[in-house]
Amino acid sequence: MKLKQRIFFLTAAIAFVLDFIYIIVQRTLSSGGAPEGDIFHTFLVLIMLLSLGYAYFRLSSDHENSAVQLIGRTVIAITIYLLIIGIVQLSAMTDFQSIRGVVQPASYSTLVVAAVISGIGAIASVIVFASLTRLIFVKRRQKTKRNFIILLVLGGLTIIFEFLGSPNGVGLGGISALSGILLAITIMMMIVNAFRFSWILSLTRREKIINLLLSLVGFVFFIILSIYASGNEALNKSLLYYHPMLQQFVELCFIFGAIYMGIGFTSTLLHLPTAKEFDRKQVELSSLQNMSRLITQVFDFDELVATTTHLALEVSEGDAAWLELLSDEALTRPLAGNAKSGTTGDAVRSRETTILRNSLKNIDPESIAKLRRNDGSPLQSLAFETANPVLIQDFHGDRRVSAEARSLRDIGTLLIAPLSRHGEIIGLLCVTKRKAYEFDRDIMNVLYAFADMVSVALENSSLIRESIQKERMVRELQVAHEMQRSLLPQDLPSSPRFEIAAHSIPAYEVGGDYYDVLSFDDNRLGLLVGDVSGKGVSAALYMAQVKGIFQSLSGVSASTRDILIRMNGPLCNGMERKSFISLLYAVLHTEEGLLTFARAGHCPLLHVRDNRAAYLRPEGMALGLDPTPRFAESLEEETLRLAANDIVVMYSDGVTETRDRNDEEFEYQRLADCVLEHRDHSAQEILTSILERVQNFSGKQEADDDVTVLVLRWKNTL
Amino acid sequence: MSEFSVGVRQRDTISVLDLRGYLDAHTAPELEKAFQTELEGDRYNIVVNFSELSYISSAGLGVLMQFIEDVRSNDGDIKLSNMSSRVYNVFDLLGFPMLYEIFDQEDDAVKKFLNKSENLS
Repeated sequence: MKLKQRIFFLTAAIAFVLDFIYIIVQRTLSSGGAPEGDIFHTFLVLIMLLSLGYAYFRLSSDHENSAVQLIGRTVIAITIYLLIIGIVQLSAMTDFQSIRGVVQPASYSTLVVAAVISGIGAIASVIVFASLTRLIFVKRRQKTKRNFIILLVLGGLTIIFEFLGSPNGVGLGGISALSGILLAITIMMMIVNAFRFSWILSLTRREKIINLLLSLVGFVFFIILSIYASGNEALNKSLLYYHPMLQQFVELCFIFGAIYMGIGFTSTLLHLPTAKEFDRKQVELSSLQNMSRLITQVFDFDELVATTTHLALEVSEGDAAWLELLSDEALTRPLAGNAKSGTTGDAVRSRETTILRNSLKNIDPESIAKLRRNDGSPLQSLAFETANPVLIQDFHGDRRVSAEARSLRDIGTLLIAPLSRHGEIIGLLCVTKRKAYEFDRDIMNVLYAFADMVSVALENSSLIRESIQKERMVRELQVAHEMQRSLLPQDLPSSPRFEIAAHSIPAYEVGGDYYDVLSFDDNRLGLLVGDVSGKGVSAALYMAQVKGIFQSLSGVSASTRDILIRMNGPLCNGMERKSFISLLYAVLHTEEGLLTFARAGHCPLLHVRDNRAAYLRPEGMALGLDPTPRFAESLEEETLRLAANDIVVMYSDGVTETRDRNDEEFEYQRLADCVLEHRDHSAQEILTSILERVQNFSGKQEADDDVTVLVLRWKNTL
Repeated sequence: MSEFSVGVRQRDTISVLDLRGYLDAHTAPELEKAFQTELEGDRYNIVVNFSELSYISSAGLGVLMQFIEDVRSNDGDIKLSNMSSRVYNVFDLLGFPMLYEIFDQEDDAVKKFLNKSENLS
């Protein structure tokens, strides 16, 4: 409650208390004289009523209440008030006397009671008035406000005229007739205003029943209270004595209440038969909205499936529902049968569907498994055969249903709606009801429309899943690519005696080629170029393995042959049978300019001196082929004494086997020619021109195989 | 890019696989399947005729490696024949001639198998 409202409530209370003291004092002083007509008293009553009304209006308009809640509040207020009045009435605590038509309490106790029930009456009337006003303005139309203002003016006039005419008020005798006419017109205007009941339509069936009861109770209580307030009763006398204006206000409020509740009761009663239908339309409408949400909710397949059956039940008011999907395999298998030739038979029946566990609503898979025809085939396959929805209106009396299936007591009506994609059935949506003949045409149509939406949603979901998977694979390949790059040496050593340049271009994101350059402390330099059979991620993993084994073994022996022999064992064990690795391993003795090398099935080493090129090819088979000593027997080691400006090129078969458009290979000769042409250039320049020439030769942007080249240029300027 | 295909002939107790076209990582599974069929039929004497094969990659060689152990443990063998020099170079470079018997002519390979079985009986 806000401060302003509190102040007004407080003002009303103070006014009431002040007035109470005032009328007691007045009565004592005038020994039976009436307070009515007293300006001060009227002023205090008005202050009380107006501040109470204002505070309550402000308070109640702060909260958004439903129409039924407002009706309920009104009924509670008058019920309480009626109880109080009833007690007063029955216990006969009041004793009024009438002097020249002026009603007066005969005792102080009566005065107190009259003041109290007048005060409470004022509160009750304000609550009633405020609630009715808000009800009238629910779904207001253009004339609503005008009609209401007319009512307010008429009501105000009636109150004033009653005050002028009543013996307890000013007592102008001739005015009574006029106030009677005004009252009649006011009541008519009340009826006009009370026909504001459009809010009843949008109530649910349950709310309508509650409203019916409330308005009936309200109507009866208001009638009783109106009679008490206007007739020759304690309430009427108390109010009249307290103030004729208050009496008139209370009376009008109660009459208005009775009229509103009466009309409310009648129209609720009239709307009740259609309430169920209305509820269903309402549900359909909201379900259709939910269904469109379904289409966007495709990121979690399980959740989508669960929502689907949940909504299906909501739409159809069904009792159980589930989804079945054909397996991917069944989807790709063509239908052998043909509906027209009558041989639909086994091809269709053998289409195995999977019940989606998350979709099960109020039914278990065991029960679904019982849904069979007399020939033992699943009942659901009816939908596949006809490619249409299947509706079994009387499950227990239908000849298509097997005797065993009929033992399922919980199924009275069964609807099977096919889910289709590009005209082909991919699954089924099944909905059941406990009683037979429960699905009418409307529900079926809604369910079919729903099934179409479900198909689209399922399709979207699987598409999204695919694209997410693809995305993930691309990302993983990227990671593999980065990892592979990091396996290659980042910095190549150089000295005044030699230059080294190397580069590897994988054909795909990851390749099987590998090169490495290792500096040993005692003036030796290890140079390695290798090629793992196959391509892609497995080749890349083996390449990492080779690097690990090579790096751990390379320091063990000075002999290149020895290192390769030692590598063969672990590689034979650690790889698939069909994989193998070719390696060319050379060690450069930088002091003497000696190059010893061994070749395990790899491309021969190219040696260029002056204008002569030679391919050196010591024997040796690839690693991982043969775990027996035969490998060692096959392996030879060669030594080359380098002269100044000698060039050595190590490479992978991606270089020599690169093809041009005519399917011709790059071959050894072109490689040798290229190096010869550039033999006066730096190692880096030779490397670049080889790669360029290979690229130009293939004429394609992307290579078919990994291309790796390592160039060593021996300068020996010392 | 030319296609790849495998034809299977029976010569006596020997299966001859005729390879045609371009054998690389993409087409290797087809050769794999052919070998599998032979092994499932307990035919372990196999000659692979390369006369119509224009290219073989390391993945193609891998298929031979995949089955050789199985074949030999069943007293069989995979013998190779009729290689073009281009294809032979690939085999040679990798050291395969040390692992497989390679013949110029298919008949020689078949004869070798037949001789062996005669010797045994």
